[in-house]
Amino acid sequence: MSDQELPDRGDAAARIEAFRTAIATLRDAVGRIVVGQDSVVEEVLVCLFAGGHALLEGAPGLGKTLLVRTLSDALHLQFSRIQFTPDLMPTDITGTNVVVDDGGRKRFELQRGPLFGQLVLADEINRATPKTQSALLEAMAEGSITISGTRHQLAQPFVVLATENPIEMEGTYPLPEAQLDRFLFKVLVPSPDEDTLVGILDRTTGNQKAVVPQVMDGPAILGFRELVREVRVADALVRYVARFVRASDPSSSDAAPSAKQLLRYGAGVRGAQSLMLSAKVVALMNGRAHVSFADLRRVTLPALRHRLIPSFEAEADGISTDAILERLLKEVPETPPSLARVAG
Amino acid sequence: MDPLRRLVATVRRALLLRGALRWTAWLSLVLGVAALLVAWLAPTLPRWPSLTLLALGPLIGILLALRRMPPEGDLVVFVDLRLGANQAVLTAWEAAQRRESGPFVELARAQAEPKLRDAKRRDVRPRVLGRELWGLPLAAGSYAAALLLPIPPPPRPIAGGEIVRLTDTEALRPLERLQEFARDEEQRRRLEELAREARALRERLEEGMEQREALDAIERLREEAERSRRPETADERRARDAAVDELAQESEMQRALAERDLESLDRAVERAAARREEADRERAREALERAAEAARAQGDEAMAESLMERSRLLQRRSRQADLARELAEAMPELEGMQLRRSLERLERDGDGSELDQAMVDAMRDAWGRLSAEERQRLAEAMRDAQAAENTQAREAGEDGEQRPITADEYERMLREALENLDRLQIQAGGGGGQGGMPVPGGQGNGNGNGNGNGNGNGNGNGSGNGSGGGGPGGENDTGRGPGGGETRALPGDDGTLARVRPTIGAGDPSRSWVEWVDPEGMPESERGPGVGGATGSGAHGEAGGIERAPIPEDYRDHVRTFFGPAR
Repeated sequence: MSDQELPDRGDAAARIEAFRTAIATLRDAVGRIVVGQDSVVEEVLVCLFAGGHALLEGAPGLGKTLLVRTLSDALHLQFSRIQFTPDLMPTDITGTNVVVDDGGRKRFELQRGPLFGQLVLADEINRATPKTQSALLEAMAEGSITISGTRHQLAQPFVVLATENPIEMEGTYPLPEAQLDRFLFKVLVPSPDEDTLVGILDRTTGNQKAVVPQVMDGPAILGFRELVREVRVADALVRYVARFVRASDPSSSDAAPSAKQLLRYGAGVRGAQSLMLSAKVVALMNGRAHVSFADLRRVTLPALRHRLIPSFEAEADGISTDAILERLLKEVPETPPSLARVAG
Repeated sequence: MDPLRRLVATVRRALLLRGALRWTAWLSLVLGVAALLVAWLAPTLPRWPSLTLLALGPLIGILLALRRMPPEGDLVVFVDLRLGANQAVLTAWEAAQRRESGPFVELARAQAEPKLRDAKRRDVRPRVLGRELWGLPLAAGSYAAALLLPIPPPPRPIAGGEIVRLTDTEALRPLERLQEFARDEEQRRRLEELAREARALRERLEEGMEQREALDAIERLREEAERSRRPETADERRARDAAVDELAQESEMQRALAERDLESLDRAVERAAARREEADRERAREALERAAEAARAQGDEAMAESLMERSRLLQRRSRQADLARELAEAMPELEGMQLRRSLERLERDGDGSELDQAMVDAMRDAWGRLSAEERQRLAEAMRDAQAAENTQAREAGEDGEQRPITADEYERMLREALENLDRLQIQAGGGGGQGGMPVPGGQGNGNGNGNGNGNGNGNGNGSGNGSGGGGPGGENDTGRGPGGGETRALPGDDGTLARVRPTIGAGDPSRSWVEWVDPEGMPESERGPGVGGATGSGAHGEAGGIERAPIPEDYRDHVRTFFGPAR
């Protein structure tokens, strides 16, 4: 689907339907290669259409890299892959100016790094040094790269899909909070269940070669991103997001009991923005022109789980941030406080 | 959006009702418990104000529910959630409020309208009844308990704690003067101490003091006075016993002498004389009648008529004497007074030309119309007037001749002083006998001084003057005193004179005793019920209130020495 194929802007229902169709097509294309992992695929797509980046965390061999590669095949985007290693230097990913002989004249020419791609796979991002990791910050936050004082705007859409392995932690550099905050979602890639594993085995051990069609290009993605931003959010929901984020902050006066007990640091402004934006994508996916509480609940975990820092007590008890968020969802009512007082 | 407005109104009403009920329940419970606490801690306070609190609860509840009513936007959120509209209703309502339009708004509205159209009021109506409403029956129970909590009886006053103030304390003055008649130095010193204490007590009684303290002080004075009595020597006792033996024919006089009660002895002597004079009069009348018959037989009618006139005069005097005695018995409060003695003399002398039955009846009726207290006050006033006359007479006598008083006179003065103390004790609220302190829970606190007067078939009469406590006595047949004492009926159909009166006896359980006089020659079988045994009975709560006399004085001394405190 290209930008020209999008319906007229005045026909919201048609645009939403086109979005849903595109999503369905994209999922179908990815599904040809990636077996199962529907939730992971959906969350990655939410990041794609919300204009954010995703951090995929899972054990090796769960198809993280395959998912990203398949997605890049399905999208008509410039794909680049960076395998992060401890000796990887920032210039290795951003690029550098090199001296070239141009008819006897020497001049500097920008040798673009892999970050100049549109769909960047940052494989095992936690194996690079913080210096290299931070080289991603500007690109992820602002969509530009500064090399030798010259700022280079990255082509849009620009999506970083990073993976990390939570098991082999030796020799790794955990991502700093500032870096994590740049990711819209942290997507947990679960182990496949039995049926999924059977499907994987069938597809990967035979002679069949699946071909992934290109179903969407960059302009279409940008068009859908505009559509996402048009989705309406009622004030009550915006306030709910604000209440929830403040409730997750243990230093806040409105902190929920679970946050006070189990969190050292809560979600911030970027977390609230992530919630809102991703909820809009989910609303569109569900065929609605407005966000609902259900949409917010759906994206709460992937959008906030990497923004919370558990307290020592929570870590000692093995309580994950997902569990804490589940508690917060129960503790922060969707109904306004005035209504909760009288209606229970 | 009319359906939405209707649904919101439904929610608002239900929430208002729920809030009002909820607040009413809580407030009523709190106020009910408060009312219960107040009723418990201050049971004497009126209970009805707690009913106003009952109305206050719902009133405040409604006000609070109105004040806490959520804004309309929140109510729309509630409706949206109840309808499961995925916030389409909310989004459309907000856009309408902001007058926004656009394809996305239209889409939201399009999604909201079917939900609103199909919605019924019951789909969005919040639950009105909640667990908090259990507070209502609890509150009602608290109010009921606060209203029905029994009012405890008022706290019992401290026995004898009330303040007694007496303006008439003249009864103590004789005690203050006793020291002037002391017969030796030791006695003088004791009487001076007694006078000092009497003076202090008089001043404190006039200022006001606690009843129990007053009674205690009076009792102490009494004991001091009792100790001031000169003990009888062996010679004196032998002499008195000899004298008593000589009075064997006159039992009443014998008993009075044995008791060393000179006043009673005086009365016994007067009564004995009256009896003899009565017999003499009868004999004289019979002699006159016989003489008149003889004269008439000899034809001297004038002589016979003259003699019969003397006889009738004699008879009238006898009648006058009976009336005087009847009048005296009708006014027992005047016992021991000059008036009573005058009446006795009238009885004896028969000089009662001014006294007739109608007058006696009128006086008795007038006396009977007075209450016991009024009779007692009148008697006391007359007694005081008489005492003043006596004092003047004594002072006049002292001016004339300074003769030392005899032991008997001193004994009489001491008796009078102690009797005054008895009266003072009654005035202070105690009673004539010991055990004057009120007994909590006992029937008839304190002791009273009761008088009874029973009339029989004949002209006999009885009077009782007892010390006791308890319920009120009936008129004429049951004694009644200021302290509510009662005396059993005294049948007097055979002319028995019965008395119950306080007397003195240091260390005795009571200073009350009974004396009765049987008419000479009256056979036992002819006596009516209770004859010779007419007594005053001690009231409930009085231990040993009545002591029957005569008990030989030496027996009393033995008992007193044996049981009395070591001196």
